[in-house]
Amino acid sequence: MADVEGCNIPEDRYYWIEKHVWAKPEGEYIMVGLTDVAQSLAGKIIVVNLKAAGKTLARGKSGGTLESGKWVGSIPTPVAGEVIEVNAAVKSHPSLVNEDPYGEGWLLKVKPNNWDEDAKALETGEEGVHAYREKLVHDGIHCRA
Amino acid sequence: MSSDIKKYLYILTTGPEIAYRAASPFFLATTAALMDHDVSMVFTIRATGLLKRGVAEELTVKEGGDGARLQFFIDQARDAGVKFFVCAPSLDLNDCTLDDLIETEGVVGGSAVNEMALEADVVISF
Repeated sequence: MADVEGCNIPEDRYYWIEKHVWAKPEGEYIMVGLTDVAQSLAGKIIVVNLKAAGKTLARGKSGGTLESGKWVGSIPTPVAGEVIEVNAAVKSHPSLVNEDPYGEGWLLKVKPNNWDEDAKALETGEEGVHAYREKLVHDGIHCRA
Repeated sequence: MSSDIKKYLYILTTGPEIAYRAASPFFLATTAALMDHDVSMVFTIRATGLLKRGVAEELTVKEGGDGARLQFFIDQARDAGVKFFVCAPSLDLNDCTLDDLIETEGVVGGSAVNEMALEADVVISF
């Protein structure tokens, strides 16, 4: 787990840095969630609304919404494919997204149409963490005081 | 249009005279737009007053609350792609012209609003 500007940015994720979402292959499926940066920017998340399992999403389309007080934001999916499962736990306990964004706070499990192609547009490994650091520094984002 | 994309129409009638009613329609419209739906808001009767330049910046949604202004909710809705339409006769009712309002998609007459409602999958009025 890399600490970048106070944010946890693990090297084993594939990041869509501009959108602050991550993807991670698990077997034939791709897990999708928000980054630590996103949950930090959002503040205390009180509602998670996810597209239903069975929906087909194009890359970049909304996989759901998050609400924290008066703010509401979308969850752009970094991978095209069919939603196989949504995390029921975060719907009943939205704070899991704040507390464990890379673990229990995952959001969608997607059966990808073409992961190899989508992965090319994402950043991962040491280079991914470096690119994320540049983004955070550029935008003046810091996760924790 | 994909069958997954629904048309949402929000019709607003309450204006700045009841501030605490102002934000929720914009919030709901925003959530629908962020789910990639096609979302329009129609402002009629006193609601047109919410769009007058300078009003939203000053309108505090909850007296004694966190100080949130209506402008925050309007910006959030616009960023999400929500479309704003103004009922033409309401301009006179609110003593203004289109030039007095923030940017919208334009004015609509009574027939157009009825057609929009007819074509929408969901109509919600406030």
